[in-house]
Amino acid sequence: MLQDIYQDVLHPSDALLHGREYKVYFDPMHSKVLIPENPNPTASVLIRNKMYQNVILQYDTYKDLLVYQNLNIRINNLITPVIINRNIIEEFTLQLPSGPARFRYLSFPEDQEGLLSSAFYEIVTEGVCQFIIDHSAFRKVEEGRVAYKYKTERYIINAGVITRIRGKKSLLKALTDEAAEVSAYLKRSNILVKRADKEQIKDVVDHYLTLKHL
Amino acid sequence: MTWITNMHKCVNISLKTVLLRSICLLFLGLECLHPAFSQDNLQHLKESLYLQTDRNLYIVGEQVWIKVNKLDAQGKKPDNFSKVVYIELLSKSGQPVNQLKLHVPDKSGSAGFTLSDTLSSGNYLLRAYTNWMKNFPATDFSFKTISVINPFKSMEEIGVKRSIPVLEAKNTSPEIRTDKGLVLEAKFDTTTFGTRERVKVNIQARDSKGNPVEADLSVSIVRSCLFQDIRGNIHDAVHLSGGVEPGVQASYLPELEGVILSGKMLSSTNNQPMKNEVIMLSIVGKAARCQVYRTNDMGEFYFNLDDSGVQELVIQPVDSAVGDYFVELEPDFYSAYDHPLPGPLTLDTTILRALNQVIINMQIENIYQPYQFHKHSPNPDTPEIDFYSEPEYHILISDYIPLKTIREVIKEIVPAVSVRVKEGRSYLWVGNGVDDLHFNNKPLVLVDGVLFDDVDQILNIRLTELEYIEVINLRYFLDGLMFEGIIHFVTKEGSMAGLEFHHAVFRQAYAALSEEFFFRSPGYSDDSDKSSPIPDFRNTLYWNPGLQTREDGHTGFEFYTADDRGEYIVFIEGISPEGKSGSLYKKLIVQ
Repeated sequence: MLQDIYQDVLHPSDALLHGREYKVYFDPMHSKVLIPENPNPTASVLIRNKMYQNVILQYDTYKDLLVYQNLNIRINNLITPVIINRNIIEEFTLQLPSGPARFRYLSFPEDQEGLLSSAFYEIVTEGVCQFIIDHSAFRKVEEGRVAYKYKTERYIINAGVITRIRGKKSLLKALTDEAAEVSAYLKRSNILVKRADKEQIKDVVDHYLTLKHL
Repeated sequence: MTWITNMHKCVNISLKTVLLRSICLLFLGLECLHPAFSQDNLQHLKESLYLQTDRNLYIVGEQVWIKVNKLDAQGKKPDNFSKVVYIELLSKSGQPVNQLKLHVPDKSGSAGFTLSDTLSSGNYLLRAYTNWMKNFPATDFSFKTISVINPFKSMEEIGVKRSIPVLEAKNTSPEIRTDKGLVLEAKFDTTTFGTRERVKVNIQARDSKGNPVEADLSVSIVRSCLFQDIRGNIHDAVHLSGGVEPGVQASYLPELEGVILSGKMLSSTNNQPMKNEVIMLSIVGKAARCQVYRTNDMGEFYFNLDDSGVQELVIQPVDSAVGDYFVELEPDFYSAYDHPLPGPLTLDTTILRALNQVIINMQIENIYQPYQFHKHSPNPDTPEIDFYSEPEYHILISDYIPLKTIREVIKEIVPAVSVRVKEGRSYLWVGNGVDDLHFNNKPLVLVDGVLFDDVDQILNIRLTELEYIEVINLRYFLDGLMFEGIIHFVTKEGSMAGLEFHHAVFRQAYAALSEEFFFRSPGYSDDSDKSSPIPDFRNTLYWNPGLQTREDGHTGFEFYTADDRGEYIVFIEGISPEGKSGSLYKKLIVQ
């Protein structure tokens, strides 16, 4: 309650309206850049310790931007989406077809970026062994026109070591100190890493953490 | 500039109105209207603090090292409610002689300050509170008395007594432990060490059943004559009133981010509040850190400041056509001293000889400390970020061939910006980023982070003084306002290049959060350091306000002894996440 009073007094305007307008730079017919594709007021964002729920948010997977739509902000009768300033976002959750996805900005030192660069990532598991998903888009010229294609990559950051998960081999490499046990668990649970969804990989990571007593 | 109206919930509520409306309902027992504000819940909104210092007795010119623990309503468990703690050192007459605004984002924090050599000898009172605690009686603040000796001023006011000193009595026991559920143990290799010798200490924290505890500890190792009170116990020191008294009015908000800068904007012509005026807070400097607020019916405004150090603030209406005004800032510190003040200082005759030595130590340290730490480069400043984050265009003037004027630079180099002249005045316009057209409204024009609308003056800044120009050629939303583009001129000095406002503006230096102050002590790991001719006469050998035991209850630290031989006190105090507290006092001899 006090938190709300504080927010109302200190930040009385729409806290999400903090940033520049968003200009669509792609052809929506031939590109998939924004997730979820259909904006609905089902997302949430944590700003200055306050959770704003049931708001319309989309994540630009090419430019790594969080886009907010306030239906009341219309210029020339057009809704003007706003890029929420990254500095104030603590985390946000989007309702994706695969279920709710919680994103947070992860920083990697520029000289040690390696596989990952500083950006928003979906955080599936946290702690010593993190399972994250990179939602991104790449630019491609298709039939003479520019198109943006959406893709996801899964990563495990175990004790600071980043491994891209593409199959069983890379998963066992990421969890190498318990590889035998993890392999047995995959077999027991009939998990095919290449085709596994994020919940299945999460189960594997949770099992690994149990083995490590973490 | 375009004002956006009715596009968001604009809550122009007087703080007092909000708090009184919400909280007084509760105090009147109307819990049914606001179930979340039951008396029980409000109890939880109370917070308390516990102050620790590295010792009790100081010589002027020395540093006072402070740790503050934030505790919950019952004063039992570490808590993390307010993020700013105010610490003041009060003289016996109640006058503040030192004031700190400490940013404490976690459950405990630390600070330090140097005792001015203008202070008189005597007892002084340290008091700590948060903005939220100012709603409750000052007796709920946290207090600690420290003694200060100024050997360079008359010491007639110091009383001397001949008695069995506490310290002498303590000396019969090598170790004294107080515990309220937290048992601390410290193991040294030995209790006697040589000068400039490494001392390794292992600490274990257990509860009364012997289970390991993850505790938040502070460690202080000082000359024994400077440590006269071992009664420190977190729970004994917590002052709490019996609860929230009916009728208590909450006028101060908790500071949940940084310092709340609040005040009133009043008209210069009739002293009336400037209602519903959109005003901007800017901080003079290379980074644009602007905030916008719409004043309420009382002309009140509230900004959050999380900057540290002394900052030059400018508060002005966004619309320069608004008439003359003046700003009254609310004082940050509590101005009343409605609690007991410290009594006179009385020293034991038994420590006078040792005191003489620590006074000499202080003088040697103050002379030689700069040489001890000259090898350590200061921490590089983290660059401040503009409120608009990355600009669309960043034009570094030195990257281009020298031009004569800023007007030329804008015409030839800066994309999306143009200068137009209308009725003898110059205006800047920003392209809309889509076609070749400009926005319909003027952009936000900043010079060194400050809103400045006299474009002719900007264009007359000498180009040699200008470092870079940043441009955002998109609409920008800030605290409910929309600007059609941003142009930011940044000078090499970052001090507005002598520009003068045509109208009166509020421009004032303001002490924001206190800068961090870290305890440093020399290391003698290699022989060259050990044989260094620079004397080391620290009276506080070691101070660590943030030592944490691990899950197994263990932790450790190491430090080096100094050149002064004698008896030192090791004092460790801590609290567990469950609120169990304890302390440990131990002797250490340097021969």
